[in-house]
Order: sequence, then C-alpha cells, then structure tokens
Amino acid sequence: MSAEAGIGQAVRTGRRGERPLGARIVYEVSKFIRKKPLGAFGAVVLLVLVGMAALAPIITPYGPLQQGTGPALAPPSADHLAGTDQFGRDVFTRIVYGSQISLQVSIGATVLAIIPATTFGMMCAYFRGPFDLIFQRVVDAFQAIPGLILLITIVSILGSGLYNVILALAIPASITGSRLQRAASMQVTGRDYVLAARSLGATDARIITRYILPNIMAPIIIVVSLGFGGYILAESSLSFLGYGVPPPAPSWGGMLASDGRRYMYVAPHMFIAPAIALSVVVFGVNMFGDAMRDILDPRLRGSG
Amino acid sequence: MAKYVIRRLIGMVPTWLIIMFMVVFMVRLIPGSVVDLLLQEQGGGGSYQEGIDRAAIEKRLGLSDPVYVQYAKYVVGVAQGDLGESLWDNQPVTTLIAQRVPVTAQVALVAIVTSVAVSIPVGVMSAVRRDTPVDYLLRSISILGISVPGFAIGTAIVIFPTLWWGVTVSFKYVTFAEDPIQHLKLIIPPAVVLGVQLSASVARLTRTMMLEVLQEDYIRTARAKGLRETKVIVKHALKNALIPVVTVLGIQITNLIGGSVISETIFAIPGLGRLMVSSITARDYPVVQGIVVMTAVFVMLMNLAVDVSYGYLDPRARPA
Amino acid sequence: MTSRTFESRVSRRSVLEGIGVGALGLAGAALIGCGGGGQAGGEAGGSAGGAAGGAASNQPKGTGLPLTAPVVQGKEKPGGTFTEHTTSTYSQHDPGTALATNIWHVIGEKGLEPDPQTGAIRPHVMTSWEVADPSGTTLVFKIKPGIKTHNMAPWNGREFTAEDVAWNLERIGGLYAERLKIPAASFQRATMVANLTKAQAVDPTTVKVTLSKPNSSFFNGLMDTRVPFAPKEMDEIGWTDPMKMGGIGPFQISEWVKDQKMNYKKHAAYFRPGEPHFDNFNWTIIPDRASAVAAFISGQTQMISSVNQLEIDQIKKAKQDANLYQWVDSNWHHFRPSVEYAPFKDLRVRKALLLAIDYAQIMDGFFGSGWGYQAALNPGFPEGWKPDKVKTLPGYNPDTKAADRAEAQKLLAAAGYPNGKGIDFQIIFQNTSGAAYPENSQRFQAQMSQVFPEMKVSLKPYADNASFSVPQAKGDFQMVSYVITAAPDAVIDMQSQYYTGGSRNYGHFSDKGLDALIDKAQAELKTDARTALLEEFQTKFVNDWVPMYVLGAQPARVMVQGNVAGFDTTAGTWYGYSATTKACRWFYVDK
Repeated sequence: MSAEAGIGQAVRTGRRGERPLGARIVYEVSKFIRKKPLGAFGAVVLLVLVGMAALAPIITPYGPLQQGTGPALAPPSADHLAGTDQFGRDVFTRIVYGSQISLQVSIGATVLAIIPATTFGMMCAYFRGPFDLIFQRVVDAFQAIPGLILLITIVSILGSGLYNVILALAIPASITGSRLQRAASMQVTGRDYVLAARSLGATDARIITRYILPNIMAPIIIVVSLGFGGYILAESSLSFLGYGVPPPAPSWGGMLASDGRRYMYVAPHMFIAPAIALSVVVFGVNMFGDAMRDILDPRLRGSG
Repeated sequence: MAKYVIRRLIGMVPTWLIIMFMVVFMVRLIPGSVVDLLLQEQGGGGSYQEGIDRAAIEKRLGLSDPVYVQYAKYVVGVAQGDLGESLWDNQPVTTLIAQRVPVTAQVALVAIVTSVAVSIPVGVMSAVRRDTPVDYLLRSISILGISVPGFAIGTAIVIFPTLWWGVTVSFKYVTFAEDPIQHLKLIIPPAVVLGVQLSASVARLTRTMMLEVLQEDYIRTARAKGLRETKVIVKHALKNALIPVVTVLGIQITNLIGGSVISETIFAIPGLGRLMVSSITARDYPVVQGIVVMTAVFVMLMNLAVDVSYGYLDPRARPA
Repeated sequence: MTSRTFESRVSRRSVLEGIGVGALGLAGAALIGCGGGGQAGGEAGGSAGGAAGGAASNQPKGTGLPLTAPVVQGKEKPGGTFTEHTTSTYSQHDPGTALATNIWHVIGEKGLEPDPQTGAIRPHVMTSWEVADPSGTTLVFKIKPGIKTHNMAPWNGREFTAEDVAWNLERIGGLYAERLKIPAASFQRATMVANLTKAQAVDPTTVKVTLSKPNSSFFNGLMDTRVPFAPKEMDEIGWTDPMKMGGIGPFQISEWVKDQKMNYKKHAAYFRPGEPHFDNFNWTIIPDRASAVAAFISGQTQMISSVNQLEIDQIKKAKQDANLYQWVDSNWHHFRPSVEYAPFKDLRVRKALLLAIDYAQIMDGFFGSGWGYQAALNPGFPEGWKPDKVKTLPGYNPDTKAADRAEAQKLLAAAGYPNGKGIDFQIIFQNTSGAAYPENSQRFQAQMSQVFPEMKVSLKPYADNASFSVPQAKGDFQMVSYVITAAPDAVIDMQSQYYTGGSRNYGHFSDKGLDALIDKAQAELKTDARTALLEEFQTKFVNDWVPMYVLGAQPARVMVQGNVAGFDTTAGTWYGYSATTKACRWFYVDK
C-alpha cells in the first residue's frame, strides 16, 4: 500500500536473484522491454538524448553557432541532414547541441525544484503547526496563479538567459510540488518506526533524513520522471512568447518558435526538424515516466 | 455544511492577501516600468531632467508611494471592489476583465467538454486493456498531444490550409450574440488546441485511477457476482475513478487561463490570456494585478465547489 | 528650408527644377520677402490638386532611389471596406504624449505633407508656410478654409480653423503642460516644433507663430505623422475614450474593441475632393505574424506591411494578382557604441569597426535585396548621401573589404588592441521574434570573431521593450543594436541622435564641433548653405566622429490585393509619414 513497501520489495527482489550481476541486469532489462515496450522506447529516447549531448562534437563536424557552413536556408542534403538556417548554420548540428540545452533545462529545473519541494514537504508534514499552515497558504497562492503567467513574470524579473529560464521553471514547481511530498511524508510520519525513533530520542534531522526521505523516494521518482518532459515543453512555450532561452543558443523551443515559424513557408525543415526532435523527446520521456510510475506506484502493482 | 463553507471562505483570506502581496511586488520587480517606457525617448538628456520629470510622471500614475503603501492601498481598493485603472488608457480594470472573461470562458468550456469527451473513454479503454496494443496505441496518441507544443499545432492549423487551399480560419472575432455560428467556428480551433493538451493529462489520470479502482475489493465482488464487465466498469469503477479526475479538471482551469494566451495569439481571440501577457509587457500593473486576483478568486471558489460536491459524490469524503 | 528634391539620376534639369522649387519654401521666403509664401502656397496647392486628380503624380521625380510601384488599371468601384491588420489596438489616445501610432493617425490630419518619394513639402491642412520677418522668428501659416470636423458631438461638423491649429501647435510644444498637469517631458514630439513660444490665430485662416530663435526644421517637423491636429475641445472631452474622439481626417471612428478591432467609416465632408474612396476602413487585430500572412492570403485583409522576401515568395505563389510595392525606407538599422566604454572612446577603435563591418552581409542576410546603403543621413533626405555614393566609401565598399579590414587591423593595433585583444563588449537588443536586431547582432558577432580573433563580443537579449529601455536610456551598455525611424528633417534627426545630451544619444557621444555644426544648421534658413552644412556633417561623420554604425536603410515592402488601386501614389520613402490617412487615396477597381 505504501511507498515504503515498494522500496522494500524492490530490495528483496534484488536479493532473491541468485544469478550473477550481469545476467541479472540483462534479465531485468529484457523483462522491462517485454512488459513496458513504450517505456523501453522512452528509455531508448533518453539514452539517445544523453548520447547526443555527450558526443555532440563527434557526431557532427560543425559548431552550433558556426555560420556559413553552407548556403542559407538550404533544404536537407547529405552534407546538411536537416538543412541549414538563415545564417547558413547546420540545423542538424544545432539540434544535436540543442539536446544539451534540453537536458540542462529539464535536469536543472527538476533538481532545483525537487530538492526544495521535498524539503518543504517533509518539514511541513513533520513539524505541522504554524509553519505548515502559512506555507500551505503560499502553496495555495502559487497554485491559483496561472502557471505560464507566473513563468513569464519570473523570467521578466530575472532577465533572459538559459540559467534564468531554468530558475524560473524551478521556482513555482518547488513550491507547488511540495504538496505532493507533504502528502507522502504525512503517511510516513505516522508510522511505527518513526514514532519509535522519536521516542528513542533521534533528532528531527535524523528522523527526516533517515526515516522519512527514503520512504518517499517512490513518489519523488514518479514526479521527477513525469515532470521532465514538461520543462522542455514549457521552455518552448516561453520561447513562443519571447521569454525562452535567447539566441544564438540552439534551444529547440527557440529554433521552433521563432526561427522555425518565421521561415516555415520557404524552409519548412527549420520548423519540422526541431518539432520532431522536441516532440519525440517529450513523448519518450513521458512514456518512460509512465512506465516508472506503473512499476513504482504500489497502488498499481499487482494488476496486469 | 454551511459552517464548513464559511470556514473555508475565511481560510481563503490569508491566501488572497498572499496572492495580492506576490503580484503587487512581483510586477514591480520586473525591470523597466511604465515610466521608463514613457521616458524612453528622453534617454540622453536634453531639456529632460531625470529626477524631476520621472517623479512627476510617477506621481501622476500613482506609482510614487513606497511599494508597501501601494500594496495597502490596493488591498483596501480591492476590498471595496475597486481594481484600479489601466496606466495606459485609463480604462477601469473591471471593465477590461469583464470584456475578456466571456471569451476565455467559452474557449475553456469547449476545450474541457471536448477533452473530457475524448479522454475519459480513452483512459478507461487504456486501463481495461492495460499493457495490450490497444493501451499502447491509445496512450501513444494521447501522450503525443502533450508532446507537441501547442503553438506548433496551432500554427499548423492556420498555415497548412493556407498553403494548400488558400483558406484558413477567420481572424475577425465576433461575439456569440452577433453571430452564434461564426462565433463557434472561431472558438473551436483554439479550444481544440487547448483541449488536446488537456485530454492527455486527463486520459492519463483516468487510466491510473481506473487501474487503482479495478483492484478494489468491491470490483472483485461485483465481478464475482457475475455482473457484465461493461456494467462493472461503467457503473462501479468509473464513478469512483472520476472523483479525482474532476478535482484535476478544477486545477487545470488555472492552467487553461494562462495557457490560453498561445492559442489566443495564434487565432487572434481577444481573451484574458492575451490581455494578461500584453499587460505584463506594457508594465500595466493594475491590469496584471486585477487579472491575477480575479483568476485566483475564481480558482479558489472552484476548488471549494469541487470539494463540496465531492462530499455529495462520496459520503466518506464528507467533511466533519 | 524646404527643397525636398533629390539629386537626380534622371537628368540635370530636374535638379535645377528642384532648386527652383526650393525657392518657394522657407529659405526662399526669407530671401524674397513676403510675396513668396503666398505664391508658394498657391502653386503647390495646385499641384496637390493635380495629384488628387490622378495620373500626373504617378511619375517619380527622379529620387535616385529604387522604387517599385505598379499602377493598377481598371474602372473604379466606389465604396467598399478596406481591412488591414495590426498587432494590438492603440493604447494611448493623446497625440501630444503618445509614444506610438494612435487613433489620431487615422482621424486626425497633419499640417503639411511630404511627397512620399521626394519628401518635398506639400500643402495639406496648411496651404502656405512662410518666414515673415528677417530674424526668422516669426512664421505665418494659411489654413485651408472650409475644413470640416467629423459629424459627431460636440463638433457636429463645425469648421476647423486657425484657432484649432494654434492650439495644436502650442499643445504639441508642451506649452500647456502645467495647466493640464501633465509633466513637460511627456510631450514626446515637442522637438518637431522646437523653439516655439507662441502660436496665435490672426484670423480664421491665418496662424502666426513666434519662435525664441530661428528653426530651419520647423516646416519639415510639421510633416511628421506624429503631430496630427485635433479639434481644440479635446482637452475638455478627455483623451480616454476613442469612441468620443472626432477629428478632420478622412475616416471617423465607428467601432473600437480593445485587442479586437478598430473600425472607421468615411468622413463625407473630408477636405480633399473625391476622397476617401472606401466607405469603411477597418483594422483587425492579429497578433501573430504567421497568422497575419495567412489572413492576407485567404483574402481577409487587403494589405500587409513589412513583408520579408520569404513571405513575398509565399504570397506570390498563393495570390498571383497581389501587388508588391517596395522602396528604400526611412527606418535605418544600426549598432550604437557607448563612448563610456573605454575602447570606444578612441576614434581609431570606432573607425576600425566601421571599416571591418560587412554591411552587405548583414543587410542581405536579413532583408535580401532592396535595402539601401546609408552612412550618416537616411538616403530619403534630399541632403542624404545616396546608396550609390555610400557604396564607394571605405568600409561600405564591398570590393575593398579585404583592404579595409587590413586597415582596421592596423588601427586597432595602433590603439593598443592588436587583433582586438583587450576589447570585450556586450551588445544589447530586444529579442523580438522576426525583428532584424537579433539577427544583425548574431551576424555582427560572427564577423568580428572572424576579423579580430581576440575580440570578445557577447549578446545580451532583453525579452521586451520595457526591460530593454532601462539600460538603453541609462547608457548602461557597450553597444546597442536597434532601428530608428528618421524624423522628417535631417537636422532634427542629427540633433536627437548625436548632439551632446540629445534625446536619443544613448551612447553619450559628445563632440563640440558636431554640436556647433548642428546649432548652425538649425539656424541656417538658406537651403544651399544648410545643405552644405549637412554635407560637411556627413563627411565628418565617417572620418572624424564615427558616433554610430549605420547598417543601412531597410527596404519597405507592402503587399496589396490586386483589386486595390491608387497605392502607387502613396508609395515612397516618406510613405510612413501618413500611412494610415493615405488609405483615403486608394480604391477598389473592377477586375
């Protein structure tokens, strides 16, 4: 029923295996592929994304900002797999390097959001009282303000730039996201082992880090995996409104929303190529997230 | 029940104060103000005297007080139903919002109706046929809806018919009263763009909830009693699975209001989202504040309404 | 000052004619005395009548600038509704304090009008304009009799007289700031009527203006579309509700819904005979560019401005009969260095960059063809150097690019920055999608890294105008990438851009010689002497001062549906100076 049980079970499954580690991994992976083909597809997309980001200079001979690699607005060819843009930059190269931005945005925002969200959530659940009361009103306030509007306002305050966009994406998520972690922590704080630890005189910090945090990992992983794609998408929405990662950075959102849309009549590849990249990645990430949830959410286990 | 509602309403007051505090301070934190825009072409100097002229314009616009005084005045104003005037064209904020609410409300309504009509059957099918090709296909399609940016779908709807047949949606907005048919024609494309994205999350949640409910004892009992599977799913499972779905729909309304700016921009619909974004760009503080405060009031009352109706739907959830 | 004739490519005679016409204006009046002014009004008025009549004005008088303006043939189909799009409804309704286009650009009228191609002053609401005393501080204007206001309360079509004009001039000049409790700095266009101390109606058709000192730009300033006239009751009515506003323009307001539409109907008693042709002139609000192009292709709008080459190609494919009108525009793109940044204080550095920039690569890259080389003054000014000439100058000349860049290297090395080492600056710009400045900045950045490998150029985009306005106005930048719309007079333009403390001199450039030259030009009422000063200005601009890197004058491109005629009579560099009221000269034809 609880997240804690999920973790325990996962650990047990691990112990039960008598086979050597390598074989066990192969077994688990092949089971995942069989059981969750869409999730496996998502995992492959994620791997490709990470690979692209890490190996960008090997994959493509051009630089992402290098102008005049070919004629401007040229359609796809052997030299330019996804054509060129208005500066004669190679669109494929920009997509490959753009994966670095997408990863920075999604990982950066996720990490920056989940750490405070979890901290606030656990503290609210553990301490309750006036802190919780006031903080929950702040969460209410953030939830009642339309998300995109909040994003635009925060980016406006911070100014354009990759890191400011990441920060802007993380701030509201770190507040509103805490509610879920609070709910998960609430279930745990009432458990016997927490009460026992407390009666034995364990410090609050120790209880929170040793007993509560490990037992809310499952919902954390679910939130992380489902939120990942949302950040990439949110960045593109910001780009459409002029608040995304600014040029000349090869952000997929920017390539799609400003250059791609501007040139889509004559150079549709400038629209289509980043659209495919972005959509496939968000799709894959979502599928992977769904699969993770199916596996980790104990309420869903048992059936199927 | 009445006591519960009153208690909840009183509980909202601090949240409102926090929201007003946030919006009043945040809009003023954005670099560049109306005054900067007004003085933009006086930049280098000349007869313009930075301190004196700036102070004069700030005073005229009511921006010369310290921010906390402006906040206090604003709260008092809101309590009296006065949301102030636009700094640019002196229109009362209430008038501006009143013009836009019906537009956004209609788009949102059509978006919700279409997305519910599509996503709930999809979610149920997906859950019932869990981990089968049907599930994969339905989920793939619905997840694709949140994988493609809304502006890309919107642009495609506008551009491709233009490229192929030289026709496209109409950009001349008319109200429902002026021409109901034409009005619906205008509302549907942006509503579809919003609805597609909404349906993905609703379908996903419906699927999860259905999976959960289908494991419950009473479903097993119902099945054991030999009830037909369709009946089990529709009568027993779906009803219970939908309760959290309704809650999420309530929450999604906030995002519909914010997210509508993209489709309103592409389809030239004069809704609340565009007013909001253009007011941020123009640093029209009272308008931004007014929209945020009104939206928040609406959202919180919606949530209350959902919670109250929840109690009727599910006796276990009735508040003590 | 008046002569708006351009150096002609066509023939020597038209140049001479131009000088002749020049004698009809300010300088002429000052020299010839009282008689000249009236005569000028009469003659010019006659030619304007001819223009309204039709074909006579279709021939450009040899502007020296490329112009594409197809003449649409066909029988006029009177009436109809003409629809344009814009991105939002106007947000300010007081023309005296408005920053941008406002309702008065449609429902109001300006005192004088520039010929769209030559920029020469044409009579309009004012039928004559003259300097009436030898000191050059008294000006006399004649107002066209019988101009009627819109037929709505409280005016109900009353006559628009010299009293209204005098009130407008004083209001534009900010003389009523105190009485209206509006800060003087808010009167954005006071520079157009600089030095004005008093304007009074001598009789219903005569206005006398008193200046504190001579102003050779005054008549040209009145051609600016940003100084439209309104009836003098407007201060009592208030400037908040557009539906309550009535003027003397060709169209009057009929419907206004914020962010949705601004619709106007014909003003039947408009003072230009036979105009307007359309019954309705409507604006639909379409914020997104891609949607606006789709709206034109699908026939929902009759015209689309600022189309780029790509959009033209696409529109042509879908709508073969749509017409393209193209000219070199009064909008010019630039990089403005701040002399607060130490390296840019050094003329050698400023000059090295002037020589190193590949202007054609930047302008071609964004606009394709159709733009014009510009050094200091916009080529649309009669005094401005024409693109052909600028193209032969060091730095601008594509054929000597390599040599110029080698020279630039030497200059930088001499200034202590070999290969650009030690120069590290940021370009600020507004990150507006579809605008030129983000792309210009990126091309510039790539060029500099190629020419000066050690120079560091970074980009600092701002999400919107308000946030961008802060560092720009404070001069808190090393370089700005932006665009300027030329004022209708070269001296006004120079003054705001380069004069010490000038209103747009954001880079804080300051040079005593330049200031003295501008002062002299402002006081110089003789056309040829003033032209000579402007010639000197342009020479020193590229050699001794280099306060700015002007990339060029952008091409203006407008696409109009094939069944609309008359647009050719309004096309030209100075089209923007009455774009909206000029709709009254267009009409539908049967095709």
